[in-house]
Amino acid sequence: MPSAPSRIFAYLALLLLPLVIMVVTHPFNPDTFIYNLGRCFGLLGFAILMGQVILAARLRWVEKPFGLNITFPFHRRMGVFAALLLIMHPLFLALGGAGWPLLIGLRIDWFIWLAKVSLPLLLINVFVSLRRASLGIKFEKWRQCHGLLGPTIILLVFLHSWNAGADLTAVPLQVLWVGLLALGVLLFSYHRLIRPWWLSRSPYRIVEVRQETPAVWTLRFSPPPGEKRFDFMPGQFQFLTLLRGKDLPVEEHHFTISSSPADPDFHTSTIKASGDFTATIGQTRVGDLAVVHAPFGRFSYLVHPNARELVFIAGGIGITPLISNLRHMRDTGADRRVLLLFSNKSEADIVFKEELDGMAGREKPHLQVVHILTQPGSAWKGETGRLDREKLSRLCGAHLAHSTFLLCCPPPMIQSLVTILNDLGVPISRISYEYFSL
Amino acid sequence: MEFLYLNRVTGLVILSSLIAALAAALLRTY
Repeated sequence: MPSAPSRIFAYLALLLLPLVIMVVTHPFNPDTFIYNLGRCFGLLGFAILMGQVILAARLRWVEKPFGLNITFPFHRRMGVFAALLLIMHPLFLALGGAGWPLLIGLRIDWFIWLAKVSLPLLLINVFVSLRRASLGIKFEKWRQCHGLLGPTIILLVFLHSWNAGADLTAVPLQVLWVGLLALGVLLFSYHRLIRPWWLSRSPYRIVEVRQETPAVWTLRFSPPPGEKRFDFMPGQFQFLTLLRGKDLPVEEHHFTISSSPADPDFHTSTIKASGDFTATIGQTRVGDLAVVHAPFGRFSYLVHPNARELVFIAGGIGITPLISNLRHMRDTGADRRVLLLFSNKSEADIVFKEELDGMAGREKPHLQVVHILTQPGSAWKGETGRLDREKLSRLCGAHLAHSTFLLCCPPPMIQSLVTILNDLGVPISRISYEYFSL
Repeated sequence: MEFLYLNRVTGLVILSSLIAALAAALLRTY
């Protein structure tokens, strides 16, 4: 991944800079080691919280070498790490000499109260973000709450550390603290307000709404008049805000781009009506507008230039990034051999069946398609059941030894497939996957 | 591939941060 190490180094430098400044400006003090460690955890935790804004702001410079498939889960993990550090911060201070009144006392300074309020808020924020789906919270509602809670926590932690931190008397650390806060405010405003407003000034237009199966629709977008469509790699995705009728929700969601970048004038997304928002996708009309923020992701065969043989495994609507890859291979005559294992419930659920079967007769790419149905009709003569170890072993055959695997399925299916593929001798380094949701 | 990379980066950042915090606390105390 080009340039990735420099980004990681810059991020680490940002996290560790407060510790370096602390050591340089206050080399020694009479406090205990445990107390000093508690302080360090506090400084580190604050720096990570500020870094969270940078990770979440969808900045091209930050995201490009990794893809949001890595930066967003990394943002989640760093949120957990920051929460653990900020739990240990008061515990170590108390153990190191401040005593238990720091934790349980009520007669404490107002800036300690700020920390006592911000820590539960942070824990709630992290817990809800990790368990959103199982708690039944809608994505849009969670996003709104996250956008309020995150900055509130950062502001409270800033005020707490500014007033409570003995090290914050040093001017270099004060400059860094104010600089980080200013950067956070700037990035948050840009991400949540300025960029959405800027993008909404030149929306894309929906020029076709096509029903693929009873539950799946393809929307075709054309760029604003006089503008070129954005450039993208096959398999990437876009953030989309549909501006439709008054009664239809205006929410931003991410959808895979299902078309090939070789088509210079349009792009498409193929969407299954399943969740609260996507259930309305069939009500989209030609002429509706769409605010587009794209492209993102690295789920593309172009990221694997040396992989001549590939195995694509799709579960249901997970075919969308893979059809984009296949269409691009077809349009450019890519010299690749691809085995596509496509799992669906019934024959009626198979999206792009005719197109896939038509592509299977070509030389470049050399495509073999195997449909697998979990609830087949009586007339079905192909593979049936779940993609288990026996099927993967039999269908993949020699591919297991050398091919690169690209998987796009629901999370439980991905976990099962990765485990089985590992058991069959496919190292994780040859498996690339994308969940339906980030 | 992504999972492996994510784990490595997360491990590197967490480990480096904890080592740096320990080192900084040691330097200040002794």
